[in-house]
Amino acid sequence: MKIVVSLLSFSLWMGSTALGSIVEMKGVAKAVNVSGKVYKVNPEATLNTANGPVHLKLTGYGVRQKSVAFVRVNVYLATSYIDVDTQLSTSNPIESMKDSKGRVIALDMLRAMSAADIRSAFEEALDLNGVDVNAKAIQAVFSKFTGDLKEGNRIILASYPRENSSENLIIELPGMNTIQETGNLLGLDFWKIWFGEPIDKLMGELKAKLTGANQ
Amino acid sequence: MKNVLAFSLSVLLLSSCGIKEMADEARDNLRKTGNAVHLQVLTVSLQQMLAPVNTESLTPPVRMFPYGDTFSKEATVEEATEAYHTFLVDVKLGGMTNKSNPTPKDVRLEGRKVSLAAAGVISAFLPHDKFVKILEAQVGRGRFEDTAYVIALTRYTYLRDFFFTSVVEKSERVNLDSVRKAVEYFSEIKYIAQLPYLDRVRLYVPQFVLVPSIDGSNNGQDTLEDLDVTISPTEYKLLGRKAIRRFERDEALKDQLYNTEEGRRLLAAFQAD
Repeated sequence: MKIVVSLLSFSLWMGSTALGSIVEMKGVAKAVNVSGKVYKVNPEATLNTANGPVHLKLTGYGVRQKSVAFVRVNVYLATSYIDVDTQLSTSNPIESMKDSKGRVIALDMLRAMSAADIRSAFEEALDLNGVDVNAKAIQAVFSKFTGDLKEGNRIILASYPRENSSENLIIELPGMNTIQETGNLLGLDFWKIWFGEPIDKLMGELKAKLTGANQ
Repeated sequence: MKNVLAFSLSVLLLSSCGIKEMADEARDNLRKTGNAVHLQVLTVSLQQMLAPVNTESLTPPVRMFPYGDTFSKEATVEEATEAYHTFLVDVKLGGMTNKSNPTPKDVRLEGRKVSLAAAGVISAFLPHDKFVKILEAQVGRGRFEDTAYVIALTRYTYLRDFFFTSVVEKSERVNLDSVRKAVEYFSEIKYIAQLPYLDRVRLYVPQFVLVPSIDGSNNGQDTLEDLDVTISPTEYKLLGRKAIRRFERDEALKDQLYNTEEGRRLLAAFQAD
């Protein structure tokens, strides 16, 4: 019986990933105005995992800004969700999300960027957080991270645990391009980009917003 | 006979004095001309850096680059320091000359940003020897000591955000010459990050950064925040590793880097001390 349920949930997951996003945004969306443009932020979401659907709650949202030679530019609007049973710690969010059943971050691009630019920024943040950027699973993700991103594009990152400490990481890029990899704490490693040691002061400000520390 | 000889000698003496005077005059004219050309190069390059057509975009201020390059190479150590200082005064005091509490709509803000960009460009294009001489002349002893620290900061920032990045992040194709150039920029970045007085290298400008209102924050009004920049003493190590990752992604280049003497030397330059 257990096998049948597992197979059913797996086939449902396969179906959902084949048809569209593995994340369904739910609840009444709030309109968020960023420099005159309106983006939607939903209070809840459902992550369709191989283990079954996981109900997620919003932890926070904010704009990733970057200082380029003393000028501040908006890069993306980040919206973070975590499963409803996990209590996110504002002081040590990574530790508190170790056992979470699902995590999602949506990035709405506020400027055009090449995937190489994003890859480089992600790699630098992972490196700062002591993650082995040359690890096979991480390189497998980045090798598929190609193309250009336009203003208004949305990237969705989702992760959830599998057996032991292995985790699935799914990155949905614009144009039905989806990256899926499994690796030891792979998702948690990627979440260090936003919830680990911040790469700069402005990322620190975003981290506070995503953990809800300033709400 | 004696008289003839004396006459001839005096004629010769007089004529040689004339030649010497003419030579001195010619030398003086050449010096003046050289000086005029020098001043003209400085003036024109500064004018062009600040020309509206070259200051439309400041991220990065690429159109300023050729003129900044010319100015930084032509100016003496003193001239470069003083020009930089003048721009910095404009950046720091500009708001006060207009309003004590500038708003984001304050037109002076844009002008001050141009001055900061011009200062940044000059500092980035200074040849290494000239930059070192500025520090030697100012740190602990010079009239422009505070300015020298800011020169180091803007030089670091521009080299990192525009020059080093242009090779390591923005180039589609990389080769051994890309690595040589990246090492050149990286060495400058590392040199500044390892200055013994790095804690004094800081730029603070009150109410200078425009922060757009997000989600109705601050009643929907854009705000001005202080610009307060320092240099992380360990950031260069991350930059070095970033460069290695980028260059290793190109298989042919990776082979050159690991299997030639020059390649190994270039790779070693990115390793942290």
